[in-house]
Amino acid sequence: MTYSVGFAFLHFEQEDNFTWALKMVKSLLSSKDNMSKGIVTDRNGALMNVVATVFPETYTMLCFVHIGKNVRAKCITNCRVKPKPPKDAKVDKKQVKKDKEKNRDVVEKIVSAWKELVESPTEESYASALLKFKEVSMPFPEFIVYVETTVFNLKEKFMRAWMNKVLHLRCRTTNIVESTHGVLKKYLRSSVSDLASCWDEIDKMLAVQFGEIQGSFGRNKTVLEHKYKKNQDDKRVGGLCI
Amino acid sequence: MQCERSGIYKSPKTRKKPNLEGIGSRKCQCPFRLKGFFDKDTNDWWIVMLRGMHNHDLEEKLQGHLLAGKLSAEEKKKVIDMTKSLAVPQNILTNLKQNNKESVTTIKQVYNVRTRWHKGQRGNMTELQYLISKLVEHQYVYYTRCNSEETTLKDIFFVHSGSIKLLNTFSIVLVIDSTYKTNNHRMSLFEIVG
Repeated sequence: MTYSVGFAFLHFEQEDNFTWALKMVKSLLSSKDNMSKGIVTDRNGALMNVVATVFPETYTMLCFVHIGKNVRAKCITNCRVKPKPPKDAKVDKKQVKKDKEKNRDVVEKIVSAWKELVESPTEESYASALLKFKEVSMPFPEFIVYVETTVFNLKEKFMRAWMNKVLHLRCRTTNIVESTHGVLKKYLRSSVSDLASCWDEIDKMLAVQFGEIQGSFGRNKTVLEHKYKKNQDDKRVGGLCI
Repeated sequence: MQCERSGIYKSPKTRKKPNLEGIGSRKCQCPFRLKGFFDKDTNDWWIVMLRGMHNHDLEEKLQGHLLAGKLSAEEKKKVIDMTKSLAVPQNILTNLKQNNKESVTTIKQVYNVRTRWHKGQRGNMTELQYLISKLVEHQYVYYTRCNSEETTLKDIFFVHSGSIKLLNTFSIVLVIDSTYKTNNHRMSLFEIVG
């Protein structure tokens, strides 16, 4: 179950604004023991820095889906079998089609190697996956430079090999927050309402959300899974026999 | 008594002169007049036709007529209830027509009721006054921040009191993200989820 902690309307997306909002969140925590163990963000430079400064004790994580998307986009632009021909040059259509197919294959190869790299469970398997990834992307030096400068320096924050060492409750993407955005936008319907009507909708959404959460608490208290029930019956039967 | 189309158009008394371009009126100085009087001796009502001619044709159907399409108090309440639960005007109208087969209401009337309700709710309060009064009423915890001259609001952060309880219980992993296209001030909506 997901619950919304807080909402903020921010005028700009700058470090100053994020710091303020996160400090407010921190002030809501009643004691230091309640401090969260991990925080997941997307790859927004300002937000990443702020989370690290405001919550120094928590482990900051990054959404691997967002990073994967960036890598794929970069791969499509940088990894070409042949450089793009000048515009006025004569091109053979069949040749272009072949090249496109080749490009697609190369991109798929690199992306699958990347996925394997991200999902490798231990540091040893990560090392071997890294070798494979580098081998695949060898002919494209531009791409390698991009990956090394922007992504590999953050590898502890999203690679599975390192993430497995911290408590993250299988929450390695910002998927849950994106889905609540989706739900909220269904309530909002238009993108030009003012702040007050925006709040009205948020309040409606929260009312439903809290109802759901309370319901799940109730269910968890009363509902007993069948596998445990079976044991109980067995015991009783055994007791009667004796 | 006179025809509803008698008389001439009177512009509303506003400080600014209304822009009448592209706007028409139903009034056409129709001369039709009736007079009713009460006879004290016999206790009877009499009606007398003073002028029996309309200077316009009668409309064949009632659709689009102001009074015929008027919503009753009950229907108005229904429109407001359905608006609260995010029903689209089109669907509200369908619902009204289903319940009352002879209804000649048009979509315009539904929209009118909605806007009147929206306006009445806020009263004279501005957007932010309304927002903050609602936040206080529903026991939200909120913080605001103004710019250096304290004239415009920069950021606003609000949390439901129930969320705080949940946050203090389940705070192991938090996910943070912001989204756009939620309001007309182009402010990003920053959300934290646990």
